[in-house]
Amino acid sequence: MWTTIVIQPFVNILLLINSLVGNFGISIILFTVLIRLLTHPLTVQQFKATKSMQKLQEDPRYIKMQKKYKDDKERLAQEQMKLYKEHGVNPMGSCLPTLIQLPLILGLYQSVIRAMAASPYELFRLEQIVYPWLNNAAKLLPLENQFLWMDLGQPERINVFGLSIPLLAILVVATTYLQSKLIEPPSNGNSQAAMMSKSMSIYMPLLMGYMSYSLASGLAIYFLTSNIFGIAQYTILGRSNWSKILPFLGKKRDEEKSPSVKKEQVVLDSVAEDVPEPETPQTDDPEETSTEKKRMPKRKRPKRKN
Amino acid sequence: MKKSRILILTILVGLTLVLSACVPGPRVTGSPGVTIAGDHVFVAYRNFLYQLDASSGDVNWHFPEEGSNQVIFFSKPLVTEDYVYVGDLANNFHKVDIETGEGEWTFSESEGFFIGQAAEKDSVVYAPSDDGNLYAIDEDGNLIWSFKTGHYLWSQPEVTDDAIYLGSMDHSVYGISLDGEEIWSYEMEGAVVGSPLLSEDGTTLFAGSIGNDFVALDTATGEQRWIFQAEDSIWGTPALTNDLLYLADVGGNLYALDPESGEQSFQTEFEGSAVGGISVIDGGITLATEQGVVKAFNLDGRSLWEATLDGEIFQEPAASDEYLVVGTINGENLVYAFNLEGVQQWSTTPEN
Repeated sequence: MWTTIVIQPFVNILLLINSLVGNFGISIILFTVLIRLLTHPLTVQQFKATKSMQKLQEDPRYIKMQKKYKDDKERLAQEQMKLYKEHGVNPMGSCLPTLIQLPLILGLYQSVIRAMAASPYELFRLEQIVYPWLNNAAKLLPLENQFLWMDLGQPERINVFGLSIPLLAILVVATTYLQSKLIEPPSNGNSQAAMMSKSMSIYMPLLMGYMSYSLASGLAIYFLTSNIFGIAQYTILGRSNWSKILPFLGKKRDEEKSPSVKKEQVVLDSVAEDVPEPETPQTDDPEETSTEKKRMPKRKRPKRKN
Repeated sequence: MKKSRILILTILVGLTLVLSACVPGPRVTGSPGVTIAGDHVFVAYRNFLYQLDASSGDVNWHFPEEGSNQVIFFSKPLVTEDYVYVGDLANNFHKVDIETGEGEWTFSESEGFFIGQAAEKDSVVYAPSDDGNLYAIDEDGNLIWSFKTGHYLWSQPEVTDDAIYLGSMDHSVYGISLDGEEIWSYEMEGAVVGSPLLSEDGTTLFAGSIGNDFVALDTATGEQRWIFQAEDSIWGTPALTNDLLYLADVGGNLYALDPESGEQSFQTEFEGSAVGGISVIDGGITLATEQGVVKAFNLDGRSLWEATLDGEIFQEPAASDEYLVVGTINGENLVYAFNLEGVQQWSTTPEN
């Protein structure tokens, strides 16, 4: 089922591209770009959903309720849902496009493996799923395994002054790190999401690097192309935060923005004062009540008109 | 914080396992390479080369002593009087003592897997590699020369006193001198997976390709003597017996041709795909299908018997005077042995 619906069409598109360009390395690159372009609308949708979610998380009421109900998860969830509804945000909005994209990306990965066919068994299985309209399959198979200095069926190494360097693996680590840093949301203190995002930007490059180091270089080319496409995509969509990679960009921007930032802060504070208090649960604890009172902003009593 | 890190690590480990299919080392699926010689069966599969007793299937030894996930064997072993030669997917080629299973030397100059079966003549071993090279190796494991083709080498070379003949996945058949120089090459319609076969007098070379063509070539010049178009792709090695050339395709056709003219003597249909080649037994021929059926025919193409196994077969049965042995994948057992009447003698999955 999975093979018929996803792998077989993908493999045949890959073979078709290969029959046009005559180089399997270039075919992998073009095929990866093609699939990523097809899933681009989903990525845009995902970005939009994530952006509105982030915006909402910057809402003073959201921040306030995080503090207020930090020990009452159930209540916190209820209040968050109210806020989501109020802002028309679907909390699952960023997950759905990802869920749709995942099988396609997995299919892309598997079809690259299938097409590389490194044994008679694998080549026979590949020949079996070639569509009849691609009638020169015998001429196409096995696919050309040389691309630049690489044997696409073998882990990649390049000899530099007698040293065997896994250049592709290094590039994959670098681009995976770059990509995860660029899309890392602005730090929100010690929030769990920020922590997870930071951890991902450390572990994910290592994982991808290990796979590129140990698996066939054809797959490493796919990883690298996918990363570069992702970086370009985020940049074009204005979602990449280059100041995280090039701090001087951030400083420059901060300097340009500094007066207005102050202004914004003032506005934000005043807005926070006007935010209606979420309903507070009745408590018998006099200490907690007194703390709440202490935290209440002082307001000037309006003068009576005589 | 700790919880989130554990969650991330779990996700990443899961992702690694899914993407690398839980197998460290080369991520390649293959079928066992099986050879029978005298009283022993040699099976190369996954992490070991095994020597089994041909009458019982008991394991006598395995090589190497300690398995490693980085080392995978699929190549059909080459067996000589004193040694077994086999290559692996860690790009190493080994010479192993036939009595003890101890390694004599390992040749490590290849940059590709060893999947095709090697050949030997006058103490020189010719090892085909996936880096496209045929390596000529002396008896001490030193490289004498290498001959480069354009793609994987999955078939066994034919070696005579004068030359070496080689089929390549680059769609060509090559004639090479004994010092590694190209004499001629002939381009086929598709990749040459099955090993070419020499005529009895050594003047004609027969080779088939997955482009459905089957040719007879002059061994001296590489010129085509005749060509035969099969109905489907030819993956296996043909067999020559009873003055007829037998070949099978993956569409379930068995052909018998006149080796001199290429004229078809008869054609028989059978169910399944013969990915491996044809083996000669006393008074007949055998083949095995990808669907797990071992078939025996008499020399006129009439079915003698067949045995259905639980698994897939990608190599022709290894035949001796007493036994037929096949290796399967995705089946209940790895190796099955039959007598020449098709009665199963034993089956086993060697354990380390």
